[in-house]
Amino acid sequence: MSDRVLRRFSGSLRRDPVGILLLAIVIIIAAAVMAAPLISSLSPVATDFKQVLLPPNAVNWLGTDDFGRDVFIRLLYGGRTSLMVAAIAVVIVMSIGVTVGVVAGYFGGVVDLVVTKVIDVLLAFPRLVLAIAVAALMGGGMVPLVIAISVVAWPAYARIIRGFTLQVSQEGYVSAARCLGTPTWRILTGHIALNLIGPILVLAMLDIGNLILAVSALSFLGLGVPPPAPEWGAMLNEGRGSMEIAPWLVLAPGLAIFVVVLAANYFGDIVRDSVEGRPVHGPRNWLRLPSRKRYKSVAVASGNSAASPASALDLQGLCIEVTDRRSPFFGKRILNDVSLNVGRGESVGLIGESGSGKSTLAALALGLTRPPLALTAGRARLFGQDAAQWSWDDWQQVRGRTVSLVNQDPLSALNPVLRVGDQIREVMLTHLDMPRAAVEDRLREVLDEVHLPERVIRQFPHELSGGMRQRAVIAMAIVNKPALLIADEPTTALDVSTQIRILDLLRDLQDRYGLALLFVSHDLRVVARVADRVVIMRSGEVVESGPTAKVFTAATHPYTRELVTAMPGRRLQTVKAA
Amino acid sequence: MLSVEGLSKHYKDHQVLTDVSFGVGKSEIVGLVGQSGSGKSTIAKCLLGLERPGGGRMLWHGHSLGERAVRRRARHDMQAVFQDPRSSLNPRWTIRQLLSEPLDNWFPREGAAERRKRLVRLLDRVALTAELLDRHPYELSTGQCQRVCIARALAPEPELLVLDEPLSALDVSVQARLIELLLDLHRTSGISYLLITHDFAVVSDICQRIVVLDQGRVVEEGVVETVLTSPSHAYTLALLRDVLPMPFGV
Repeated sequence: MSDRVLRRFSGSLRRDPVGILLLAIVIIIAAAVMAAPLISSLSPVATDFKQVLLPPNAVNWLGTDDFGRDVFIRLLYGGRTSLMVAAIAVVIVMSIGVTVGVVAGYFGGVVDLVVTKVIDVLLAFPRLVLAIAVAALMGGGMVPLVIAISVVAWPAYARIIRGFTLQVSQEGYVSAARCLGTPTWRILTGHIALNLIGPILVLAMLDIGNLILAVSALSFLGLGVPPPAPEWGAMLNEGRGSMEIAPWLVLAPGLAIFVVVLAANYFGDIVRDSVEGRPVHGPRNWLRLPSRKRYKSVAVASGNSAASPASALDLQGLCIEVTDRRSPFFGKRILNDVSLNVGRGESVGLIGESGSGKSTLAALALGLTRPPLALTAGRARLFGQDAAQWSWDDWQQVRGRTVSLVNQDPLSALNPVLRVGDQIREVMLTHLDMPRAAVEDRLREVLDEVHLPERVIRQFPHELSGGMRQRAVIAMAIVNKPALLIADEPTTALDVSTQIRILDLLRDLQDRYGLALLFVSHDLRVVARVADRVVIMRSGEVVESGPTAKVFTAATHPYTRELVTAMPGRRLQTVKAA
Repeated sequence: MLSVEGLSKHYKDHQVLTDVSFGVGKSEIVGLVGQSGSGKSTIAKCLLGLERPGGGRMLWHGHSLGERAVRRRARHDMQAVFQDPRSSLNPRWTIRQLLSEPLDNWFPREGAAERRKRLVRLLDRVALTAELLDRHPYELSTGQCQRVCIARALAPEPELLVLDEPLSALDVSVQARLIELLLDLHRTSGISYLLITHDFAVVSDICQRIVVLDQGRVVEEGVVETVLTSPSHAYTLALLRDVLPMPFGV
């Protein structure tokens, strides 16, 4: 497990009092179970008919059963059996499940076909019924119990692990390992299984509860450890007859099973959250956004009105910092004293390497600065209004209507299960109260503007090429005739021939609509094609800005000069010129 | 050294490669250029034994790569660098482990001191310092990750590097430094490259010979100057025209 996962795990546990309580209880139970002979000298199997069915008292803390045996000590020794059988079963089930799943997933073909069919057949039986049948066939006892539980539990794991393996096998490092001549067994263990540790742990934690229940259920049915040896499930069964006169006989093992299973499931959830890196669970972690005074009327929505001032986006001395104390980067400045102005109908290129803060700036212009980041100084004006004061709802009315975004990866920007036409319609219907016919007209018009054929209305994103997808995203961005378009690396994922067409399209649309364009990229050649003015950023600061031609031909900052000389294709240029 | 003769491949009804032939000589840098979907990555996968070719032959020093013994030798002689350096590096391994993987495969009997010397030398060849050995990939920049990938590919001391879009995921300034590095390595060790890319600008900076691929067919092949100045095929011409010009003649 990597440090990150451990950190997240301990972090989410710390914020979770229920988790800590359960953990404490489980640790106490486990310790007590292991140290049973030290805690009490009473024997779990010694009968004493003089003291049957005693209620809890000073000597017998949890009373005695109908053979006069101490319930508390039986509970401890019984826990040994229950928990040990469950633990052994988990190890066996995991080993078989992981081995079979990884082999089937990695090799595929006939191996996979056979394994999948066997798994399907085994999963078609009800789990417990099959376990009962196996245990009954083999006779009672601990070993048959473990075998019965393992036999019915592994197929479910194998299937899940196979799915994960299919995913991991697609990773570049697996192909790379094959190219390096790494032996297959090393690929399976070092690359695939190692990267499945997260899911494997989660599955183990989530299922140990089920296995404890299965052990108890089989013992309850008399298929587990033979009497008089104690076991939680068997104790439940034994106490059943005297439940009305001696409820402690059933309550003690019942509660023990309940608490352990509950704790196991709860930890399973916490482990899963830490491994998968989701926002940690628990009500305490709901991030409460600072509520601001609701902005009165979103005058900004009519960004084209003549009354508003000349600049679309105006940033003055802007600082953005990591303000969340829990973040390891607390206090780090992402943007430092950044001033930038995009005039109405102006096209500005924002250039910087990855990590220079250019995407943070783009997100700010869309009101998407979220914790752990926050604006700490400076002013951000959008069409003359102080955007820093806007609430989420105010932004909702602006985004997609007055300001819109085209980002790098069109495949993730489009919803894979919706038709392209519906996605564009949605943008219109969210913001404008338009009659049906007008929506359809505008849809056709906008597709024509981005040079897409009408058939894409009924197509899904995966049916389009990369360039067409990006055109569809642009159509979504401009359909409401915004006043400011933010394009964040819109051509980086495309090949050169597509790239140049998308750039020309953006330039063309910008001219036609009088659109203000903030074009973010790391590539000077790309920016030069669309921008009137460029701003060059490095490590969160603006190092140079000015008209495009001037910055390129007479750069003052050494970093700009470095960027200019870094452009590839010099040889091609000289050849072309000749 | 490497020659591909009439290679073809199809997935179900979709013909990906049709009768592709080209070669890479000793110490030669060949560019394989085409748009996305032209089948250029499929060629790389076939060469590297990650996919089975549908038809045709691939010869390594005159022997067919279809034979086990030849493939085993090519596993050593031919190495690869892929587009996405982050996904090419196992996130749970340190740089030391990552670079040791090929060394364990090809120099298993090396002593600890010798191994360390070799690791440092490998990092040095790609202009990285030995301090990185105990870091994980996520602690490195994307450019550094790609350098680690190159170092790993160089570890078995191969004769040919197959570079599948090695620069596309990187910033332009990082690209420029990596191009320098690749050319440097070529000058000092005489290693051959098969550079697969969609970017004519990059190809023209590095390659000696160009193979242009359109929809799974080779439409043009020749020395870089000839292809750039007088392309014989309309598709090549179109690709060349699409290269973004140097702004303001800088």
